[in-house]
Amino acid sequence: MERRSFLKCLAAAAAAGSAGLAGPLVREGLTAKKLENIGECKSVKITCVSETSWFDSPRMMQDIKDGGGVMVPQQDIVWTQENIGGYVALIEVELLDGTKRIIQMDTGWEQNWTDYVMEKSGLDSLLNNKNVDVMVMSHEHLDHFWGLRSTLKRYQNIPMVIPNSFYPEGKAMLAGKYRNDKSRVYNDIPHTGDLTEVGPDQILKLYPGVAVKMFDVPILLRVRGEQCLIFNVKDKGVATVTGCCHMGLLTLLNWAARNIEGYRPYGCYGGLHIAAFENWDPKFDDVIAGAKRMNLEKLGCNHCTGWVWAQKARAAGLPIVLGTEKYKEYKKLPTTGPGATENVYLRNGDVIVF
Amino acid sequence: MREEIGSNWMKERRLKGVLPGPLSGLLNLALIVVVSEIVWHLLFSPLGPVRLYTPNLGLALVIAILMAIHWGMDVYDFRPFKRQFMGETNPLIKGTILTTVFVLLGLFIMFVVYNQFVGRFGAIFFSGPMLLKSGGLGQYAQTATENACYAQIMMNTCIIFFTILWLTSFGYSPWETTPKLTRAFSVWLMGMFMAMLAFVFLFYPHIAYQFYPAQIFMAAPPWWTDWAMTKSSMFHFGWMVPALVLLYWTNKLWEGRPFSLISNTWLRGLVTTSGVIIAGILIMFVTNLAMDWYFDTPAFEGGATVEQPAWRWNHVAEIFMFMAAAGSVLYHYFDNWPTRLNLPLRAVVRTAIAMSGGLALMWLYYRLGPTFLGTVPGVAQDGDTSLAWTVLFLDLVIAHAVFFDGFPFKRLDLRDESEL
Repeated sequence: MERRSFLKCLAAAAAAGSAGLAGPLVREGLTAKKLENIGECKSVKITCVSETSWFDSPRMMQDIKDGGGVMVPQQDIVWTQENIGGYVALIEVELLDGTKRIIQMDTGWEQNWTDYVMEKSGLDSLLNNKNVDVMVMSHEHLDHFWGLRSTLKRYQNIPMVIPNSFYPEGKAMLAGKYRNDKSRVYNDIPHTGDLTEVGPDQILKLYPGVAVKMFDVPILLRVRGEQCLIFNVKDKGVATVTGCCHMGLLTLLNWAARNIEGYRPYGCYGGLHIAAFENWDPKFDDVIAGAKRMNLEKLGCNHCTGWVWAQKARAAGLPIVLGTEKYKEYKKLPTTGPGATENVYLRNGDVIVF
Repeated sequence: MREEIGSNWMKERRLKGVLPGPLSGLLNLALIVVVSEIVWHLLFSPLGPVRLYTPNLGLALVIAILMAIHWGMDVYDFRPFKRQFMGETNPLIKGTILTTVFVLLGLFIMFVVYNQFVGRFGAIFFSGPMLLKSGGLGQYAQTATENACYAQIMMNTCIIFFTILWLTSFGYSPWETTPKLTRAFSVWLMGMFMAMLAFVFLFYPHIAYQFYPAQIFMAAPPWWTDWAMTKSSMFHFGWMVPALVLLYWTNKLWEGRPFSLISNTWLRGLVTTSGVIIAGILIMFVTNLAMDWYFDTPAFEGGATVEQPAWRWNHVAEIFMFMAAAGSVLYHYFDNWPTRLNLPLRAVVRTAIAMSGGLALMWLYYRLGPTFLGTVPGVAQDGDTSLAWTVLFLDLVIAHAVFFDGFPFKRLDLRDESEL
């Protein structure tokens, strides 16, 4: 870092020379920012309803390659139906006054699997009884959103929060007017409840200590924008819950540190989108090195984090929360991580409390 | 007989507009923009039929073709094609033949040399099919191909850079007195030799750490992390591409200056080599500072999207390739305007045009890309890169202006002996 500072000074002269050109680039960022007070909550309990969006990574990668690569729209790829599952998380928040709020994050992908995990986790009856306060859609990716029908057939007017960057296909899904036989997705049940769209310049405060933040990022398979839940837990600190975390864990924490009043790092849960398909890149080592400086106390990860990243991160001393054997009770098991000495994922049925 | 006159076909020929003023250039530019859109849609677009923009597969291909073009045009002076063929053949026929040859050469390099020869019998990481065949964690259909293409992209960039660097710095020294084919072959080998050396030190550690577990007995850990804030070798790509663009500009926009002022070949070589490398590194850091300012956040180790150092270094390369494309348009379509000012002044004006044109092109790319190229709105998607389009555009501009003689709005005009 010191060497970088030296180079910054060295480059300053050249930068000054181009200051005239750079003038229009000046953003409001140069002025002091107002920190957001999102309040505090007492505790947060997250149940992993399903983190298994695909059961076999090589098959998933083959589907993507056959479709033309990661830049191709998700609707334009033929997905092996036997390989797909979905991502759903159930979040119970206890507010400081003792009241409880239920938040569902995402709604899975394959209908049978999504129905199955909803029933197994109890989310099924919460939806039937309209006890879920809000569903927060992290982003428009197939494995988080295409199981929409499973939620709507139980609770058609569930209040919903989505990023404001959905493509027309996503909007058509919400309207119950979408069918694509190539990628095998459909929804004929229109969403009739309150729909809140969150943009990148706002922070949606759901309840005291609970906020939604959207990042306008381009994402593979032609998706745009992801939002996450941010909790400020009294006496503990800030914890995040993400779907895929395409904005990047450290970028998210960096944003929180710069924008949340009283920020203190505490924990995270969800997919972290690092070594999503058990592939590796030197950049993933950077995330481990950077995360060590973030001083998190609990790191609960799964889904697209990459088993190998979680394993390496734990070996490097990051506070990876280990999962239980509960996932083995499910009717279908992923091929990831067999033979590993530790379960570095919070897998289906596991719970983490912040 | 003309082969005896000049040292290089590119110096022996020029293009003249068939319409007055800049009209020929403007119409040719419009034509090539339409052609690039058609080619992109048919072969590269994620919404098109072939979908080479995976993204690395398409990028590796256009870079392999660019490398083949540089070899043919700058090193081998279009041999084995005779001057008679180059000067007298109908531009449509000549352009079609040359374009086909260089595209086939690019395909051969990628799919035969790297995938089936180097990857099968030597360095497996250059070959997607061989990585896939080897199996192992993470070596799946998509990632194996992308990783192998990454290695090819970096190797080919090194080859282009060091070949052009040698030609700019040393010309054909120390082989200038040998037969033309011998000296061309020597420079070709030298470019590859230097590229291999550079690859070993600058990119190989990345490759070894690109696997899980890291291949610790194959390469040293990435030694640049403290400077680069990342273990990714994008750090080196980030200075090498701007340095390459400086070489392009030295040869085209600056007419050889300032390095041509040094008459001693070896001193010129030393100054040029160290000059462009140092300038490339400075450009990279200054551009990163500009991005800190523009995005209102610095990059940091482990950051993502616009805060990811590896993306930042790659984005420096992207920005300068937009500028290279704009400079190439100025040189090939607008006769390197202005030509009447004194050399330092016209070099400054041309550079300003190339830089501002590049920024304008970049703005258009991100603005119109989702509509015309099938890209996702926004910047900093991991893996997504504008380089596939800019290098394709550069390939097409060179093919159009050099192989097709700027047909239909320009025509070939050979210089006479007194002009050479």
